[in-house]
Amino acid sequence: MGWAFIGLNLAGYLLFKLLPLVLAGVLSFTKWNIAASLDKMQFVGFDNFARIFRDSVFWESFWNTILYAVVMVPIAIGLSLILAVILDTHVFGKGLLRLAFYLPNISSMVAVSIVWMILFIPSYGPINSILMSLGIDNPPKWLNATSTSLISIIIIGVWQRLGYNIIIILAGLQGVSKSLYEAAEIDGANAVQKFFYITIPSLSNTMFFLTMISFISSFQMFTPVQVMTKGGPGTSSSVLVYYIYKAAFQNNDIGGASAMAWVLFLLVFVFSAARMIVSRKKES
Amino acid sequence: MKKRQKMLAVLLASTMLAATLVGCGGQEADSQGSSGAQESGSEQEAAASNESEETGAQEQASSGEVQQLNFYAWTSPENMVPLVEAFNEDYAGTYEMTYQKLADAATMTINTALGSGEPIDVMTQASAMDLRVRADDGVYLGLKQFFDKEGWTYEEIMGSAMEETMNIEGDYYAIPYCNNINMVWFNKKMFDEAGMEYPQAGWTWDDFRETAIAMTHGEGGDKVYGAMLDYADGDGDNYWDLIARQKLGAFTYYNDDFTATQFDAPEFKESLEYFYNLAMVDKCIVPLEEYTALQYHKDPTGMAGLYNGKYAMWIAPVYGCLYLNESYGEIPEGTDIGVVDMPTTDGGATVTTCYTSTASIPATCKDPDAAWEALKYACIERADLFAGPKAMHPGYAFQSDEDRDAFNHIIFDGKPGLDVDMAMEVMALDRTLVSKDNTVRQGQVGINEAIKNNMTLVFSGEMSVDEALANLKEQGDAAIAADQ
Repeated sequence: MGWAFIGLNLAGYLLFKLLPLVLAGVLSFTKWNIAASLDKMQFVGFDNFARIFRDSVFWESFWNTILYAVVMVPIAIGLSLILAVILDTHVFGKGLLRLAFYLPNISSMVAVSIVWMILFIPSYGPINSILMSLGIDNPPKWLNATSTSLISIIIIGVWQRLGYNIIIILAGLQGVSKSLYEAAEIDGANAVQKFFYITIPSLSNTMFFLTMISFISSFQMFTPVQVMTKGGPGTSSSVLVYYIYKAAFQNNDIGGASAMAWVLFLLVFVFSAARMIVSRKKES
Repeated sequence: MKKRQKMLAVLLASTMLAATLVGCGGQEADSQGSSGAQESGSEQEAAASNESEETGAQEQASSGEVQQLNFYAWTSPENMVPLVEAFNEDYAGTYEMTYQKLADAATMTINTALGSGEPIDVMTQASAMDLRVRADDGVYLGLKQFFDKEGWTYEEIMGSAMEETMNIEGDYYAIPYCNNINMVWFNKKMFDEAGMEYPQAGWTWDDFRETAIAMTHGEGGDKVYGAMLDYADGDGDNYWDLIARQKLGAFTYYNDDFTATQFDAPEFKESLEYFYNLAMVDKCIVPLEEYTALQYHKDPTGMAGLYNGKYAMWIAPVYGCLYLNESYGEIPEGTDIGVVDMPTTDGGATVTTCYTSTASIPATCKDPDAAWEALKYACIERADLFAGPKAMHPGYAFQSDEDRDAFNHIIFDGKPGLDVDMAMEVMALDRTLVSKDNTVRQGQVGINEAIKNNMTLVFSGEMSVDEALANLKEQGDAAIAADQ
């Protein structure tokens, strides 16, 4: 009886998640053109892994992915927390503001990326026009310089992530007992003290959830790089998923792409495992 | 009551599960049926399976049944209607062509269609590298056998330049269905307003530079550039090496025996330095940051930028005129677009670059002879119905001036805003074509990656010409060595 209920989901999981995962594992040890017959598949052992580990662009993409996550996630969560606390209090147009912050999350990332490209045009884009009007003579070249291309993508990541984070934090804030704030007020705590001694500790589970989810989704970041920089200038903004996409879908290197996909999988797996261990410790 | 609800839930869950499995199983069965050779495991079995299917298909044809032929491409379906209708009329009672539109020309889109057992008879592709890989992996049928049967040679039908690039170990695995010749389009109205002479055939790259500088004016968002060309974008045409290609010919990146690159040749330095100066010193061509942000590297936007006066000249293939059509955007009244051949270094005989898209027959095709009829029809016999509506020249060499002019009329007529007489005159001139198609497999992926990575740095002002060419030489040679 139980099997019948979970059957559909199980079949979907096996067919569309587990099987591709296992197949990617198998393909990572082969050289194969997907258009050719299966008998053309060559077993190459660990060659694909050896090749990608020797590839400087792979490592640049790997470290860019980590850097993106490590910088983007804390900024996005920190800003979201501040904004959510403000939105949770009596702010004029609260509903409208929540909608405004959430909109980037449901907008097409391709369309949004094109708009950001225009905003970032170094010579006359709106962002640099503002900076120049503020007296900055040599504003950044944003997407068009190796030193700022990844930073530009992080800015867009933060902007896009804010809405989702705010909604989750707002939900968490509803669970914080008002009596704690009232008691703190009676004890003479100011707003900052209430924020650090009541709000943040009360939201620890929410923040932990957001941190892990944000890290995992950051590792899978793709669209802004594909649309805006194609990993450039040079390879300065290449990230793992983009490099995997290029290897598999443009360069027909299915084996190499599968090997890289497994490295990415291990990265995400380590974070997920860490999350589980920490959650269990907290529960116990 | 509770028991009944439980039973109903189980029944519904089971039905959904069964439907899912049947749905997936059905597709698999279909693909097995059509691919045959791909599933059979050994080459002998594949050949036997293919042969029996082929015999079946031929029997079907001889028994008077109409045989279905599937033509896969990424052309919009409305542009395919004339070809499909004409073929079905000419082969009424024997073959019936059905057009299947692919999402795009991307490597994986086509590989997935080929690998998934779709019953493909004719398939198009845009990338010469993809063609080479598929040919090497036995995905396509060799076409020399069909040329032999027709009593043709590839060279006499397609021309020697095409033969040179399409010859893969003595056989041919594709026929170019189009030949995209690079030209310089210009906005006549802007030249008139600036009191400038229109560019003429026989002009030089120095003339081009002077013209571009003279046509450049304004600042910031209102700046008008002398020219726009796609010189460094990963998706585009990479015109930074144009002068080198004009001087060095086909397979420009390689030495004579394809064992190393020749990015250390002075022609590459001359070419890159020229375009670098236009972009970074004279600032008379649209800069990299602007053409990527405003998507000028996409052909419809490229033409829109030209007729909207963002730049005075645009280097693009002949099919660029296709976008002089209201369906791609509103064309301002009074638009007057002219065209001229590519400049050369010395202003002598015109040498220009071209590239093709090709069509092939998959090795798993059920009836190769029938597929050949469709391929021949689309690419050679009635290219006017396939390449023509897309404003592309055919892949074959014209046999007479009348043929050439008739085809040029198909390409240029009915394009609002185009100076058709000028286009007809210009296209009638003699020119030597240098193919950009690269069917050499060794190192090609690495070379293309190195070009993209280094050129974006050069045209962002972060790398010098010499440094970029030294990198290209080193990285390209390493890529070739790794593929040997």
